[in-house]
Amino acid sequence: MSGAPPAISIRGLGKRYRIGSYLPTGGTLRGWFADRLSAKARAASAESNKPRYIWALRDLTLDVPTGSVIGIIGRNGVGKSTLLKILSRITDPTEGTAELYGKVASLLEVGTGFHGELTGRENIYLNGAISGMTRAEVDRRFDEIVAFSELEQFLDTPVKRYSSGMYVRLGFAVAAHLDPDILLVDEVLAVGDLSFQRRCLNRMNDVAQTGRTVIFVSHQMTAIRRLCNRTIWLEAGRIRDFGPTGEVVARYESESLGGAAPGGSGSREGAAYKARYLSWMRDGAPAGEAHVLSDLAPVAFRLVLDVRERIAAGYGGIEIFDPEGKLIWSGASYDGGRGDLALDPGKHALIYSLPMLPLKPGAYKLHASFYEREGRKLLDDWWAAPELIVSLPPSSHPDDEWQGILNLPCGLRVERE
Amino acid sequence: MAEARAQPPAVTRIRARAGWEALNLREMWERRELLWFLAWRDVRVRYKQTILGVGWAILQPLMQMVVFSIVFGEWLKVPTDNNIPYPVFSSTAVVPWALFGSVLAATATSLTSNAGILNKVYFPRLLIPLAGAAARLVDFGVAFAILLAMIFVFGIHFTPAILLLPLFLLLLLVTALGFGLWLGAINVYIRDIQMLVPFLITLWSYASPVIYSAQSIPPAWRMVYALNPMAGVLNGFRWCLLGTPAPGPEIWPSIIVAIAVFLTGMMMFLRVQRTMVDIL
Repeated sequence: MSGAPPAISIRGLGKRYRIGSYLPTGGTLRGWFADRLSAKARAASAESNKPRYIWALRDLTLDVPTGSVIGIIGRNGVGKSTLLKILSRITDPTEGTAELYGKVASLLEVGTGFHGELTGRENIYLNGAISGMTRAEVDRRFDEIVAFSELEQFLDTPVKRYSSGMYVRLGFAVAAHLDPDILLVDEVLAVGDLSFQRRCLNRMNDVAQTGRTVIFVSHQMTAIRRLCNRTIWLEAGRIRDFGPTGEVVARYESESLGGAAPGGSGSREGAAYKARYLSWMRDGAPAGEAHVLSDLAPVAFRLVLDVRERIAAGYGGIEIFDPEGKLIWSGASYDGGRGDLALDPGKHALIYSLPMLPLKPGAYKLHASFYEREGRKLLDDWWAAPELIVSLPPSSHPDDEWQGILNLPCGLRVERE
Repeated sequence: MAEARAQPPAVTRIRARAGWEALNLREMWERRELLWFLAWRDVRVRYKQTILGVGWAILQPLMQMVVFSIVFGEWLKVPTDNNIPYPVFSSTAVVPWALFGSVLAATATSLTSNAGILNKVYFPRLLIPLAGAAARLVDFGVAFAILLAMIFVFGIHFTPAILLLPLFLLLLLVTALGFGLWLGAINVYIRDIQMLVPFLITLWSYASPVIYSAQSIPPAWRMVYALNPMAGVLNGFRWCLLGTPAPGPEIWPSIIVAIAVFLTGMMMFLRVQRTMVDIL
């Protein structure tokens, strides 16, 4: 991959924004006159309007090889959209340069320039022209665009009568036929229903397969994992991490979902208690992957329970919830006839092991509880932090990987009966 | 696609640009179809859900002509050149003035009213005001046809000067775009401009020979008056269509001011457009 010539080459790119009003007077003539007329007003506005700047993007240097699909992730306001806007030439950078080799198309919004009064047919031409297609190109691909949108019957209806789903379908249908060498895509898949999102992702996958270069900004880690071979994690306008998607996304998710503290949260040790969970990790996990699951090998969760007073008979439970909060699995210490636990004061590790955990990628919540047998008294009830990040490569059929729960490769034999 | 791939790919270089660097005529030429699509959109959309439709392009100057003819022609007896009947004398200025006013207003607000597109996709930004102007030419065409019919009905004979009319139309557009680009660039930062524009157009029409003849201006003031490019434009229209006296040397201040404003307006616009979406 590193041998491919760069499609995009970025050197020291930075973008500075001015916060607050652009003009030293709040941007109105009234303020301007007030400033001229009164020294007091001038002093006040000079104070409150001292230019304050923020760097939305700083010192960005990057080479994107031709044919690669790069994901950009990060929290809101870290410069993802600014980067796309600069690369799409919507706004100039403050410093640095970027060179893009080939025809560039950007998809920062679906259906840019659509006018409600115009019909679907008219909007296809208008949106095509705005996005950089010639009339002849739209003519040539018109039938494909219409077929992709599935809006044949509504072509001569003004789009103001379209549902929002139809509107998005039409917009994406045009965008899907732009044929650029470099495609810049912002979070546009958040709209539209599930099956449409799937079609859009498939389409982008097709684009990526044909040697085009794609830069894709998204908050949907499943989409990033599926599409991108490498991913950039932006933080405060700089590259925090850049590498293979699985690793970067896993690190990003474990930090942003679970908080930076890996395991042992001292805060839980404060008050008086009889027994309390302190931390968890994957038993025998390699360094840096203590809360990440990336294979189908046997897996064990090591929960550290701090016991302050002797427990003659107790039992623990553990549950896994999916990102939507649905219970995926639960187990208990007495399963399989193991009976109750007798624990002396001190720190104990309860290690629950499973033959494998074939879950689709995402952030899962672990919940653990501990009871005393006598009176079934709840001693602790803990939502484990950080969360469990599953970053297995998806192995379901590509059309269905957005649905379903399990992530298992399937084997097949054909035998003569 | 195959032959396109064989060539070295087009390179897009991105960096902070100074004013003139942003003017890319080749790119504008490549995207000329977009100019027509945007103009076509403006025309299509403007009269949707109106009863009269493009009839408004005729009705507005027509109503002005009627009122002007009664008030200024009949009651106030405003003198005209060569004793041309007042209705046709004023209409010859009202029709181009309507074009000037609408292009100026459209250009001055073109950036703010298209913020939604400008924020999401790149194309040469100058196409937006140019398309707005092109769309207004459609209205002008309709009104102009009526004007020609009217000149014919009033029995005025066309002279060879009519061949020079396109030059005065060009001067009109250069003036309207020049001032419009200035105002539009400032309007990105100070929205007071869009409040000011309608008022400005009305005041300006009094300072231009619309309802009266430029001959009414005292000779000592004519060169100063000619600094208003629209004075040159309207005198030119009357000369070309009605055979009134040809504009003398006072056409030069009009032309020089128009070109100067156009060039500086473009420069302002190009400067602002580099980062205007940060503010829009």
